[in-house]
Amino acid sequence: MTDTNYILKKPFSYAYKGDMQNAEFITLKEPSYKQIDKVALIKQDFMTAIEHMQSSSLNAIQSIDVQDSLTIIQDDEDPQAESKELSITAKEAMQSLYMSPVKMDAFFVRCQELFRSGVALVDGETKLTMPMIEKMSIDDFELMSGKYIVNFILPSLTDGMEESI
Amino acid sequence: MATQLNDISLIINNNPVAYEADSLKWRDGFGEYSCRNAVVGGGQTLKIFSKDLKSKFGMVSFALPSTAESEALKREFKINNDQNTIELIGPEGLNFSKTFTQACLTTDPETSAAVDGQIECEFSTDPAV
Repeated sequence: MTDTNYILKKPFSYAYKGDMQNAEFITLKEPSYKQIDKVALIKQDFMTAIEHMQSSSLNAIQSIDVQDSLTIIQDDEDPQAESKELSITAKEAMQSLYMSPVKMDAFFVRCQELFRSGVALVDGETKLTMPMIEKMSIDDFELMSGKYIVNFILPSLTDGMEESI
Repeated sequence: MATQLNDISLIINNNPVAYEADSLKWRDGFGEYSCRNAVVGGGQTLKIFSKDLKSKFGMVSFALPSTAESEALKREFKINNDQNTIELIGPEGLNFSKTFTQACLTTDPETSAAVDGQIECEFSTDPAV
């Protein structure tokens, strides 16, 4: 998993080398063991969302069907397998969470703690801090959380499943 | 009813800083103005107004409690030379915020190792925005 950039829809100002400047993007980095306590809870929330989607047969996001993902991973000959498995967007990830019984206020606090732990760098350099998060728009924070799930949580979930087969 | 400004968030270099209550002070950095009279003659004078541009800088001062964390902060502020940024943000609803850029810890702050020991920090900055 490589680092990915989230382009901010509404740039916010932050301190950089003694001046204030507008943030353009946030680089999201892969979590390490240091973040396991935060990632585990987010992963659990996302699993709850997936399970809820399946059980309520609301398959609005067919691509996150766990059974499909497992089948696809085993099918090495299908060139589109991996892309189909990861075709969920940040927005869809957030929609699935909102439609599930997951307490979103607690979920966002977990995301905030994760981002503050060093996996999010403003303009690829400056560690994201609480005062910066407070300046972000809600849309940006939601989509950034979704992007983190899609890039780092979802692949790690399916990897784990592949091993358990 | 007006609200006294005594609950201000102090953010330095994007990080919140806990300071001693009632110790935060600042100057916006308009600079000093001077007025003097020039003699016209016949008892008449002409007022001469000037801005002292060399005094046009902001100031932020506060006291930190003497803790290991504050010691580390003091060191960080000093090492950053004039590349610190200070933001003062008032309580929600007050619409109060000030930003001081290019802030430099001019003094070499003393740490008092007492029960209620403090570290007095005074920054010289660009005028507040």
